[in-house]
Amino acid sequence: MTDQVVFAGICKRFGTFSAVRDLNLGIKEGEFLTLLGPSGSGKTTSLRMLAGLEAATSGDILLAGRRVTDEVPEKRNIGLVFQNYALFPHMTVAQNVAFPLQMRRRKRPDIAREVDRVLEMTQLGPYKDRYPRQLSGGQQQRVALARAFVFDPSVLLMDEPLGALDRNLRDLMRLELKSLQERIGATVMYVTHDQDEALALSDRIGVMHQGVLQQTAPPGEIYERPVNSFVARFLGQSVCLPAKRLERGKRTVLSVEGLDGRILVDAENDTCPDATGDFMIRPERFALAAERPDTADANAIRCKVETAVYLGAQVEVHLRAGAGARVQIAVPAANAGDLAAGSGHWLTFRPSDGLYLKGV
Amino acid sequence: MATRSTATLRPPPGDDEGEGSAMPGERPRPFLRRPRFATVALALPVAFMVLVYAYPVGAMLLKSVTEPEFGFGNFGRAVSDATTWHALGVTVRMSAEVAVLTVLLGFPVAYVLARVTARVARILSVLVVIPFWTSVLVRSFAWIVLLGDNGVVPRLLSPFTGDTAGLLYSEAAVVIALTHILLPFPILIIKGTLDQIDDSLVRAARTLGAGPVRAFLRVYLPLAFPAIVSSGMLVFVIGLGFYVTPALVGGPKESTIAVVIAQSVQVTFDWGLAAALATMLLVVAVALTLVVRRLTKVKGLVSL
Amino acid sequence: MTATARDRVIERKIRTRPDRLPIGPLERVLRWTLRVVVALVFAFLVIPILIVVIESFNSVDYLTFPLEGWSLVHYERFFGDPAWIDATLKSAKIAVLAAVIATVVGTFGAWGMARTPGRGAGFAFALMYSPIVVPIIVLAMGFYFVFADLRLVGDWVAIAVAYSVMGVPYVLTSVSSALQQLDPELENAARTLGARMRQTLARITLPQLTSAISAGALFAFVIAFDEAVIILFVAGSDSVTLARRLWDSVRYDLTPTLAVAGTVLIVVCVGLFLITELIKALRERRRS
Repeated sequence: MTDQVVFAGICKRFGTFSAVRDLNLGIKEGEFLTLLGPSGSGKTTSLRMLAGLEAATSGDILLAGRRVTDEVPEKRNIGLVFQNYALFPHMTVAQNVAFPLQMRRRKRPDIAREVDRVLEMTQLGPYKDRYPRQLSGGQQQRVALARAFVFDPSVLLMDEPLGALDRNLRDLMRLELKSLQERIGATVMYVTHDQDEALALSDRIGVMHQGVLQQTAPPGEIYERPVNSFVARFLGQSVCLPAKRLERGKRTVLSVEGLDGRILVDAENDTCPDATGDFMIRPERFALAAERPDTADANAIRCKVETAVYLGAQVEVHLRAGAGARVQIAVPAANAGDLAAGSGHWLTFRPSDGLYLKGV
Repeated sequence: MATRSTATLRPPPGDDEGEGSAMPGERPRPFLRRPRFATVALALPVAFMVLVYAYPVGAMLLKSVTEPEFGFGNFGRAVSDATTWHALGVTVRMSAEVAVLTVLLGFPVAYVLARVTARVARILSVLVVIPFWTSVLVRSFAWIVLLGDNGVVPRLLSPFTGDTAGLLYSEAAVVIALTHILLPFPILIIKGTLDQIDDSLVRAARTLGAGPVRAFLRVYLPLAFPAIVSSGMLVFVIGLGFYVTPALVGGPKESTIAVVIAQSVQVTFDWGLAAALATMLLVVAVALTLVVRRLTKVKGLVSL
Repeated sequence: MTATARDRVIERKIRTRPDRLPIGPLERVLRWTLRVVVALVFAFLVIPILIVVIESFNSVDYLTFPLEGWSLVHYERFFGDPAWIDATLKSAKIAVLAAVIATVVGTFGAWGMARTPGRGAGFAFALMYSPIVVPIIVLAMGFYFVFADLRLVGDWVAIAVAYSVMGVPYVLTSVSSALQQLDPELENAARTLGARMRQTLARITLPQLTSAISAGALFAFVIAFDEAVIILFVAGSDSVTLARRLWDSVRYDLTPTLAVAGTVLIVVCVGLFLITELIKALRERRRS
């Protein structure tokens, strides 16, 4: 199957500043792809280039097999949900949703039917004659969405669509968004800096940093097997420490800054091309033991409790390794045991849980 | 039509000017490029203004060096003529007096307008804006009625002056009438700035030990100062070129520059001299306005 | 309006109440002095205008104050005199045309400026804004020379075109500041939804600028309706506006009929202003 959207070697410069560098990315039909990254990483610029609101400096953009790089936005047939919704304040909900159909010179009865159908899908039927300012944030968000897909666009773009909502509503809208996307089978390109959103919604996530697409993979893979320490740090909790490779073989032997002794990671977890890189592990992969485990297989680090913060279900334990590294892990409150400040413990983990990555 | 090609917006890679230079690897551009719609939307008004505004003013400026013959003779005559200097002195003096008076009278009003509730401010603003919207001619006429022989003001002043002779056709009359006419400008401009000043600053000064007067002088007034200066300068500039009021309520001995210009055009038909004087007036007005714009942004006079 | 823009407007409207600090004796004196001064300034601003209106009801043929007696005789004289009526209608006709031209030029200029990057916009702004800076006597001379060259003296259309120049800066600033408040994403949204530039302007941008455009248009009308300097140079015999006739009469015969003409000018201009303020207030009330 050919890709619905293709970015081929797209670059965008503003003066001397490179906002996007050599972006190559394909989005399959019906796929939900999220560009994730901190602000200024080039994700919104990429989306706006696809929408035609920014011109690419070089490279090509293909949409449904058609080259659209030089096309004006109104010819591209894309639906874009803006961060601040950009609802037309002088038009009612129904008029807002009807607008793209009117621009496509659809017949009046068709427009009315389509608008009703879409407003029904987004549960906006009762509000069709309201003006945007008379709606709540969540309702405005749904209008923006309805307006963006009513004309059956080739791709639906969303630029931080939940960013302006408060936490609870955001979680609710997230579910709604996903089920709506599945029902209409739209190809979606979604931009956010919220990792939870990205993990919950996407078929694939592309992580961007300083204009460069770092990695594109399904959520599970990107969490478990990040290609570099930026991706590892940006998604989820992580312990990331500078490290040096001492030996290669079935296991890679590392010397990690702040952790004493040698650290073993499985060879397949060693993706770093250089001798120096970053050692990374998810904190939930640590186990806390009072005694040193006997298996020569496992990594064990001596550490002391600095503080333990009781949080109800869990206890947040701040530890300090003998060589100085600070590690924060969560332990279920039920089997927390003695975590008095200053008490000594062993942090253990399996070589299959540690990763040796290219440092960024 | 009017499709804005995105290609026209794109700076060619690594080359900001070289529009046509097709670099290797660069995408070919669309053959046909129409001017952008926004450019057309701007070009038409600009063309209109050039034709209807810049051309007449430019033609007038040109006349100062071509009428009756090419050269700077008109400026020479203007500078060497005693009546010009006298008119200039009168104009500058009156404009300065009016500027000071309007600011002195306008500041307290602006201060009050900025500190009452929005509703009250709105109602009181109408009292400022009504004169602002009333014809200059009508307001000059009002002062003819008020200051004329047996007018209201001479009669109110008769216990001090001893008679009811009018104050008309004097410099004082022009200053009073111009003060009335230009007073709304400082009020509206200064109010605009005072509205932006955070009230809590004065309260903070009070909690830090400043008395009401000191808090006002040390905290509030310095923040208002740019608006005060720029509105005074704006009044001064408008006063320099004012024609109607000096011509109607001023006397022949206190002709302002504008009056001299009009006379040169209509009475003595000395177009060259008139154009030279107008050129100098224009230069001064533009220069002072640029200074004012440097100091503050003067805007929002159209509506309340 | 976006939520944040609306918040800003509301914030601006809810001005904090005057200080509730305890008031000392010195402050009390200062406060009363301030009130008296401000009341006097307001009186200074408004009384001359009231005098004109009152004078128009005088019963005698010369200006007096207080009035000799109340009567409508000068209104009868004004409205019975075809010269005054013609002048009023001519003023209205010229002012309407001038306002229309200024509005079109100023609105498109403001929008084009906002959407044109770089130096072009700066040059356009200087050109369209500068009539506010140029002394009217200078403008008047420029028009006088050109009108004389082109034999346009007395042509009411030419006069209206000349007047429109003075209205342009006001339309321009009014529309420009409204455009700055406008969310630029709205135009982008319209484009992505399939609207061409022209459709976007007509259906999205202009409808949201109506109040700014009408405020500017109104000002352009009032300026042209009142204008009293340029007309002295370019009127000729068949384009005597109300302001021109008023000017001639002030110079040559001061009668209360003049006060009637002045009152007509006041009523038209101030009336228009009050009507728009009222409409604005009503719209805001309906919105909230």
